[in-house]
Amino acid sequence: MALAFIGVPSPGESQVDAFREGNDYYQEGRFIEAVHAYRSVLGAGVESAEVHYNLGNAFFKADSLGRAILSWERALALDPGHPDARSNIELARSLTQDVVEPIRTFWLVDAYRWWIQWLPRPLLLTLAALGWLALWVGVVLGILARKRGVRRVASLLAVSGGVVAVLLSVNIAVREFGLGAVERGVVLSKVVPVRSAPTADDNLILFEIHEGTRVRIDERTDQWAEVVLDDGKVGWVEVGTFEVI
Amino acid sequence: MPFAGRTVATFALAVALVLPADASGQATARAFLTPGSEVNVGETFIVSVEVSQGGSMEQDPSPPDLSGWAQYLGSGSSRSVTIVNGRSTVTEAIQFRYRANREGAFGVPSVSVQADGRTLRTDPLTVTVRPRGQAPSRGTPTAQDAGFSGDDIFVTAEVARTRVREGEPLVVAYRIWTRVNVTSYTLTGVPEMEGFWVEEIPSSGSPQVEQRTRGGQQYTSAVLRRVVVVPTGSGQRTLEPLKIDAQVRVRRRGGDPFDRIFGGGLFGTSLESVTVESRPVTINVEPLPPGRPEPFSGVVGDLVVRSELDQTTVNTNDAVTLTVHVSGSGSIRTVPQPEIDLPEAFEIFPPETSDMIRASSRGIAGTKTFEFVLIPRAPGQYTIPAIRYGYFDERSDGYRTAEAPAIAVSVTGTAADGPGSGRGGVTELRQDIRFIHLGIPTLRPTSSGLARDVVFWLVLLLPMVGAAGALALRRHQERMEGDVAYARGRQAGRVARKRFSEAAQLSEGTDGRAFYAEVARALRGFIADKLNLAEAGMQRADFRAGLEKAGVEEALVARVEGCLDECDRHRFGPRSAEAQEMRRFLDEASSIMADLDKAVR
Repeated sequence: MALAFIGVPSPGESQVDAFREGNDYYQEGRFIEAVHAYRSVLGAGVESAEVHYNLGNAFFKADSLGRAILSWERALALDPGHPDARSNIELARSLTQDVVEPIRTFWLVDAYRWWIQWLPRPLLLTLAALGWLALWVGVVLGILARKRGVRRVASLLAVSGGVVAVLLSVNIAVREFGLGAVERGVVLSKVVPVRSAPTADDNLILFEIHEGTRVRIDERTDQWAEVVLDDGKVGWVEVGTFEVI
Repeated sequence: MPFAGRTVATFALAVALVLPADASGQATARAFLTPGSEVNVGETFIVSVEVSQGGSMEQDPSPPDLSGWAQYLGSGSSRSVTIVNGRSTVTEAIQFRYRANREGAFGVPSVSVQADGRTLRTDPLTVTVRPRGQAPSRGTPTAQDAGFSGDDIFVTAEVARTRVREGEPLVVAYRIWTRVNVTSYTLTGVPEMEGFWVEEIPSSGSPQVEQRTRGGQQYTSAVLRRVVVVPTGSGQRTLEPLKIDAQVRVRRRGGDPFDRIFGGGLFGTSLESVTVESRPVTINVEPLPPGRPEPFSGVVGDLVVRSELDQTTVNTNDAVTLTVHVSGSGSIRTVPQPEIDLPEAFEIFPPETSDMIRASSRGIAGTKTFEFVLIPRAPGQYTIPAIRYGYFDERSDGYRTAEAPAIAVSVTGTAADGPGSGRGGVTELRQDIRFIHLGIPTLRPTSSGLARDVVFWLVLLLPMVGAAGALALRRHQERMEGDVAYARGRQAGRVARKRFSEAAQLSEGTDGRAFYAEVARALRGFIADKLNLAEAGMQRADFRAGLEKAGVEEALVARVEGCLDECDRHRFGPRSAEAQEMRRFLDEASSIMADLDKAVR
């Protein structure tokens, strides 16, 4: 039953073919064609961290830094432990024009983030399902069993399964249901002026951010969005200069 | 532009012996126009200011302001000494050159000159500017117009050879030849050297004047300008002509004495302006032979490369300077930046470039220096590789490679932490992204999420249902054990059904009485179990009371009584029942029992 969790409806053959085609183009050095192929996979309504990751690589090779970072961020959103996407983003960030030193965070926050992103999705779901089932098997056994030995084993099973299930359910709640998640975006325009108010007044420009910089999006109107940089700078940019991860 | 400053023509062509200047008479200043008071639009004319009779200008006068109708081009000065009857007269003159750009009659304001401690003023002049190309003008006469022939003054461009290799420096000398008295000259058309890299040979002081013979004629000659040109590509190239405007003092032929004195200059001579230009020279540029070594410096000549590090032991993250000197002869200025294949641990910054180029009549020679700042990011022993440049050696007529040897450098300290410390620039792409993943991934529908997954909800909720079931089962078990009434009630149906099945077997046979007795027993027993009463000794009234107490409807109670009555009738009556009749009765009894089961809980 837990395995049924991971066993997902198999994708259409055509998408797998498009993915393979993208890989072939990439290896031949035809990065633009590779971008189109990977995008057609995503356009068909299916996704995977690997597709986003490969798409990011193709964008990077096609000199589209902002979109490359965006794609890798999406890969990480699906699979926070993706080591290659993480490494590539690090490299790409060193090539962006903006050097944004992130604010140092409290160690507990770091530990929490690490915990949330620790397990790959299939493993997380399997473990959580096993813990949950163990909890209830223990409960049922505890209700029905007459012998004391069996009842002790049952309560042990229920408690341990319950602990696992509760701990992992936090991860699932955050990762799968977006509990407490913030909206982030990546700047795609070459240069974006950041203003102190949502109006197109050049006197209000506070600073400029450049392609590839990641921002947090706090508030939004139809044309403007309030963004927060990793170093804490805040301002308004026009919607359309960035894309949400 | 050739008019940038005063072109001092120190041509001493008219200079005779300078005797001690006598101070007889006052110094005078006068202004006059060359070629005359009538010019055409677009032509140049000269306002000359002369101070004669021993006067010497203490300061150059400022040019008269003709900005409304003529463009100021530049100025020149000359000095001449004339000896007449044993008396020497020194004349200093300044020539202001203008180009008329509007037609009409205009005045030249008077010019004030500081000389001998006095301020001298010239008389104002008038100029008539005619439309372009109208009337025979004496504006810029060719040599023939001015009363002397083209053989008397001309400019040549001299080159050592007309076949050169691509990148090979070639000295071009522009030489003036004259048999007339040139007081001053200005370079008006400096050629644009298309397809050449030009290096001007600085002239040291005044041009050297020499006497030369050309075509059997004696000429006074001087080199006006000398450049070194380096062809930047192969093919046929043209050296564009150099153009000069010269002021020539000519002896007036004829004319009346009055005019001689006041209109045409002193002592029977007048200044004429003449424009001469050199002939274009065609140069054949041959491409270099194939097989050139890479990286090629582009130099044809001679090349030496030297490289040095300012320190060979350096701490991690400390800067060290790599200096590369490229020196030799040829087009050193165009030598490209060396390609240095540095160890990965080194970060390199774009170089500071400086050059010291000397152009001389022997060609171009000099040194170009590249200063690179290197920052090692990790400790270790490294080698700065050898730096090579290919060049074409003129003497051996073949390619050669100049090389600076490799340099060893040791880096101490600990490695730099993180990529952030070495933010050298976007161009540093020695690191590469990791390769794509080739395995076929498990593709999930976008925005699927767990919330839409049926399996998730089943896994989440089914255990709870199971637990609830287990709890109910447990409670049932416990009641069956402890609660007799509950147990009898739950088991009543089973007992009754057992008796019914026995009755059904009897209905197959002929013993109708036994059948009805069995049905009655089953029904009674069922009711007793349901109501938890003792079956033995139960009267009809007891049943009725019990059922009514349990809240059974009157109709059902009546049916129960009817059923029991029928049993009694058949058991004790005379008539034996048909098998079909018995089966119908069994169905009725079963239906009553099911209804009772529902009614009594």
